Amino acid sequence: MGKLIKQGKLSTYSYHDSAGNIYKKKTGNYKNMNAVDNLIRYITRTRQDESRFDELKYWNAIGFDNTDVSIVIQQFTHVQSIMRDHTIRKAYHFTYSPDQNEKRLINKDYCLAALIAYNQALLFYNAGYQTVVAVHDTKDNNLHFHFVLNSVNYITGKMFHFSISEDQPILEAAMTNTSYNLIALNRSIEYPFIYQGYN
Amino acid sequence: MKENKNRKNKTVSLRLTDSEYEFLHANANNNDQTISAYLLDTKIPRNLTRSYKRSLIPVKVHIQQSLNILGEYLSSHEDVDPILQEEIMKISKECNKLWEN
Repeated sequence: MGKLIKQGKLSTYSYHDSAGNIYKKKTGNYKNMNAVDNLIRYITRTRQDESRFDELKYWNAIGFDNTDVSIVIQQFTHVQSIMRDHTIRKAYHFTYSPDQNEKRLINKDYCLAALIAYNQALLFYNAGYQTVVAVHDTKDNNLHFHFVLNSVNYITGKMFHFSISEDQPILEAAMTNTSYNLIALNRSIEYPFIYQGYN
Repeated sequence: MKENKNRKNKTVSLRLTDSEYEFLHANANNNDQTISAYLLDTKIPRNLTRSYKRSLIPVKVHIQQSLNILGEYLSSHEDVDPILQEEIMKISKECNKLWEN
């Protein structure tokens, strides 16, 4: 089974000031103002002076105008500002790493990888959460998919809640199921979308 | 536009500034076929409530996603009717206007 990992876990780091006092700071929950911007630009590899663009194989934004990354970011925050007064956690970030068997079957076919990632992202979109999806493959053959979810439901305005103990196994199974189903169909289906940012 | 928050009733309304309101009036008096004239003629209240904007969000997102799929289909198929292509471009522009509001 492929592995789903929730990124941005609550973690603390400590630092010393000039007077020698120790401070602890919480980090990694996508709460600051630039979190959405940084996160989406990171997974779509559109940061300033981007040096790892070759790792990006595909990206798409479901429920957003996907012609430009800056429009996606704008619409992401627009939905939050209209639907809720205050949004503390702006986004949820997941990565899905296919297991060895899936990787062997995908066999560096990035069109197929893109199709799997897109359909896995639809699981979130169909539940009411807009999603930005990206496929990365690093030099050391680490194929993985990124999913950035809008933490606000665009239909109900409710926040996304995720329990690692309860929701993760269900979601992981659904994603792996989607993946194997599409691998089984393989080239007999017509791809219903183009591959933006596809190298 | 200015956003007013009423903490007691937990309502938020968007209110046009005086200059914006005067501008709309001026356009309406000139019988201009503008949105402003439409707003005044149909007597839409001066305050656009936030719940109204909120109700538009699912519509916007659904239209946007449908346009994405259509756009992706068009760009992956060469033999598409140009008239249909033009129509879709028009709808796409209209949808972008929706997002601006």
